[in-house]
Amino acid sequence: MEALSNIVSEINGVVWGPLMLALILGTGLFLQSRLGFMPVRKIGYGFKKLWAGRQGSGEGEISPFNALMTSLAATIGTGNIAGVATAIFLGGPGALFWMWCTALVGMATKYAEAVCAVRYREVDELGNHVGGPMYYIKNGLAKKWHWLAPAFAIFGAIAGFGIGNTVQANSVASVVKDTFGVDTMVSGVIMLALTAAVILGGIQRIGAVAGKLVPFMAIAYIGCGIIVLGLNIGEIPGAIAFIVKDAFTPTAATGGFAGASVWMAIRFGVARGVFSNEAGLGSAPIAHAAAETKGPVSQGVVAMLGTFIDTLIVCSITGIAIVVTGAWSSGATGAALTSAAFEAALPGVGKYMVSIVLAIFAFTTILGWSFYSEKCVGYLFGVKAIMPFRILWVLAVPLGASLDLGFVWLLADTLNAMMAIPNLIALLLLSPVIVKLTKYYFANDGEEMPADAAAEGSGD
Amino acid sequence: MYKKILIPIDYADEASWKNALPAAIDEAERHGAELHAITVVPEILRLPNLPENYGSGACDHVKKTVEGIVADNGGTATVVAREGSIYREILKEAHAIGADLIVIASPKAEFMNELMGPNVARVVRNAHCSILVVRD
Repeated sequence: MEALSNIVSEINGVVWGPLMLALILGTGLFLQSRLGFMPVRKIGYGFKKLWAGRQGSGEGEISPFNALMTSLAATIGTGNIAGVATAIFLGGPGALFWMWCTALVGMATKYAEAVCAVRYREVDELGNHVGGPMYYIKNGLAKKWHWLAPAFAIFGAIAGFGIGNTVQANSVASVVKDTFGVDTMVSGVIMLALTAAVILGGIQRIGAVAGKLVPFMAIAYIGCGIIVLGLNIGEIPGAIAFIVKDAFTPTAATGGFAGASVWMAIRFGVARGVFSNEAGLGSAPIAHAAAETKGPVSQGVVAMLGTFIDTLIVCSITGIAIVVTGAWSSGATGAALTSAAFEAALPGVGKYMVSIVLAIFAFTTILGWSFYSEKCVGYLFGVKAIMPFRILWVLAVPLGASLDLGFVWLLADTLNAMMAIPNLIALLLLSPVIVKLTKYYFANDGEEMPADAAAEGSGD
Repeated sequence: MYKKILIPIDYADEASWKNALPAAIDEAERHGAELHAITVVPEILRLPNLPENYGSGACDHVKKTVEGIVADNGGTATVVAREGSIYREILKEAHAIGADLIVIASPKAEFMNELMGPNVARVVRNAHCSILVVRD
């Protein structure tokens, strides 16, 4: 186990080296500049659209409240609660700054992914829309690039077991052990049973209930976070200054904190930022493709807002809370660190709130990510492979719960990077189409470009 | 002799109707029977991250596909689409319409050396009426 952990650590060090960082941040920056920084400039427009409510292209309008809730539910999760904590634990408070940078350029990446997902989606034999990187590669790029599609599908199928499964189970198990003293294996088995009930037993009610709880959990977490920040309001400017300064200077070891170089702050800030907002991974477009939407750009705007809310708002709340309460040097990591920070500000309440909120988020993420990985598996092997996949998915849950925290996060990072590579390459190649669709939309007052007109000039 | 014939069709697999559908249409003509077709969509998981009405159009969509297949083969049939467990829905429908013959395809299986796929086997074992198993 030790040896395996070391191997993964080594691979991770290589994979998340300067090249990967350049690819992730560089793609985002490139897309931002090609789009004239539209994702940043049009944030207000995006919020306005969200608030005004979206119209389903089939039946029914979604009310503004529901639109916002769906958006929140989709973006907030374990990354915002535990991921930030691990980034700070390993990279120091400066890692949060690098998470912000990742999100700022990531908004363009996320936007691009959603645009491509909707633009190049297909209809499957059941009449459902299917899309995602495999489809935008296959339908948008010249034949010589088509190998990227199965490459993405393979990595996506595997990566899900990291970010979408083991890390989630692990985070819940660790915080539940910390707060309630329940053994990690017990948590693991309970989650296995619930997951199996939904995806193998078809008892969708469980998933539906959890899904309905998510918006409320999100509000509870954000609300609590704001209270924690409010209680420490005097220290916030100092904390932010510390975070920014720490982003560019090595962090000395102090208390339970082992010390970190600038490089570590960058590396973990970016890696956990990507974990949290999933910009560049290619997973979110698989869901965006299934959405009822007016068109690619409309969906893109929703997606980029999600990134903004996720990292620049919610991760910041968590990160600043961790720094401002001093918990960052306590030696705790993951959800337990966040829990400690909230508990320090709200004794008796903080711990329980974080544990319960995280459990719901993690569970819905385990269910949700099974969809992404399942689509990848289906793309590669067809419908027959789906049942075996679901069984493996369910079995991975208790495994994730009992593995070492550091190990599962590193493993997830590594797999995320592999999944991102084909996706980012595809986005770079498709950037001319993305820019064209965007320009048309904003020049024509929110009218989407007709599909056939957009077909010319696809990247090759 | 037969009054109501039911043929299960897999909307995604030509082997399920290539030989069986002409056979069913032929039997229906010969006996002056009503022909019914059923197609089953495996249960669609509506996960929390999917749009609310994800998959709601699947049954209609698939029904149209099968209606097209039946028409292309020169037959007329009442087509129903159901979502759920394949063999169970077939048996339920057969019972519901009072079918007296089920025509079902059993082409050479690809996987392992089995003579009959699991759904065909379950239908054969549990149906209340006669079955015509059409081989390649």
